Amino acid sequence: MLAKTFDLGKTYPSGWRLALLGKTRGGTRALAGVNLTLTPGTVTGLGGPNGAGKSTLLRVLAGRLTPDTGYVTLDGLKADDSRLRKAGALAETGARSFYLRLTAEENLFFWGALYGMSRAEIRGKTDIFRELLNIREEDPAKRFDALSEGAAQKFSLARALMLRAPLLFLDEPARNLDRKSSASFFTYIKKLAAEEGAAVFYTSHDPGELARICDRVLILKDGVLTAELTGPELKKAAAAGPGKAEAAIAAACAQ
Amino acid sequence: MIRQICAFLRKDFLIEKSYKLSFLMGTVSTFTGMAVFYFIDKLFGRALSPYLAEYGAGYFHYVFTATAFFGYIGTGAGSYAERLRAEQLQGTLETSLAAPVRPEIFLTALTAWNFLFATFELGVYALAGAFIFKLDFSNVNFFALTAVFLLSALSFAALGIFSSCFILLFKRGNPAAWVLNNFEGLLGGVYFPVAVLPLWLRWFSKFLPVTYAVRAMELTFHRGAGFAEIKSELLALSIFTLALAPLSVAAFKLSLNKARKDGTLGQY
Repeated sequence: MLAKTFDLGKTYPSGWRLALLGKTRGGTRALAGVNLTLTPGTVTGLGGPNGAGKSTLLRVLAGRLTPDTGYVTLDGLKADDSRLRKAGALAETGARSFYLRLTAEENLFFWGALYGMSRAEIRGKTDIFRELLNIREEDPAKRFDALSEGAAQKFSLARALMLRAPLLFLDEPARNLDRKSSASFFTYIKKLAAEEGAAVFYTSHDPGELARICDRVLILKDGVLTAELTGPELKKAAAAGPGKAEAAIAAACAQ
Repeated sequence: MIRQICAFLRKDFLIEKSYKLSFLMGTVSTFTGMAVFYFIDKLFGRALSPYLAEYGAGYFHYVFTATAFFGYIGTGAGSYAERLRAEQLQGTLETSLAAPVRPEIFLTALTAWNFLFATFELGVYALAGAFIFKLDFSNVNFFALTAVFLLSALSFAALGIFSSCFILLFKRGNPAAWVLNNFEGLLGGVYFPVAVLPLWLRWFSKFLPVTYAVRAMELTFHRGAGFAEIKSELLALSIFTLALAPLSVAAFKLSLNKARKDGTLGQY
């Protein structure tokens, strides 16, 4: 599914009076004039410093946050929040969006059922991710609040991946993952884009991670897209020697 | 839709089960509440007899049925805001509202467990009433009582959905819940008949659906009143339901859109 944004803007109101009046003057600007395209079969990276607006952009694209200005189209048709929520899956960082008193497996059963999946379907898919993300055998039966941060992150990824959405939004997905798990996760994401045609939007602070997994990389600073490293540019940098693509992304971030 | 409601039911049952004493204490407090009214009846029951003549019941049986009934329909008034707040605090609200579930279905699923538990409590009340407190079921007009239950539950659910809008927008501080908690029981005839109240307070009670709900329930339960005898109460409850139900769902959708616009769905 082809997703395009047109002049997206978002400012968080700074106080309740402004919020009530629907006015955003004096608030915190998170996005301004963002125009981008997410192409099927492509992993698009999004880099930038803390507070650049990366998570806000992902939440807008996933239909969880309504922009103040601009809009998104899916396959050429203007999409409202509800259509965006149906088309995309967002993997968030951390355990706070899970029920801590349920086991990890019961959590996945619950979230899958909300998307209309049967228990057999969910079990089948989670078995795949269990292997892919190196989830320990005992972890699915553990209560969510007893999981390590890394294990919780793996279930957060499994929840988003099992939906098989045409648009996949991954917000710092490799944070807390060990080397082995992140390596197989990267391979899987590339395969998902290449073989199933998913449009993947991937954020990270780490230029090395972006260089390793992304087909193209965008840089966001203070809510504005400031640079783009296209596929050919990244390939050219990578061909120049080890660490060159990473250095090119780091340089674009530093500009 | 069924799958989504069942998912919420299962999830809430498992969470409730994880708190070992919660269920037991809930049941115990139901019985202790009853015991309090039983002894109040022993002490002051006769003083209220003139006000209860039209219902054909003593004070204890009046308050027993009213409490059981209010406990059930009150689930609608209180549980939407309560469950929404719980989801906010857990951090799961934004994620669950991101699923392709219509707001009406989400609200139904969110409180399904509360209604199921309230039905169980109602059963406990009925059994306790029949076998311990010698409640007389012989006069009950079940058809009329069912209609009263249905209309009352719907109008209270609408009030509860209104109340949840405050939680969506302001997180804490819910004036609708404050009004529901403090005035419904006091002015609506749950703990004593409305006739006990001074005239000016009785005027206020006319604006509360609980007043009509409790009166209609007491009359159908103790006196076997039929549809004709409680038609004014049924009409009032129908007006409340028809006016409040669509408005409350519309208000919820507006609040949801506002929270999405402000980016506060994930906040608590």
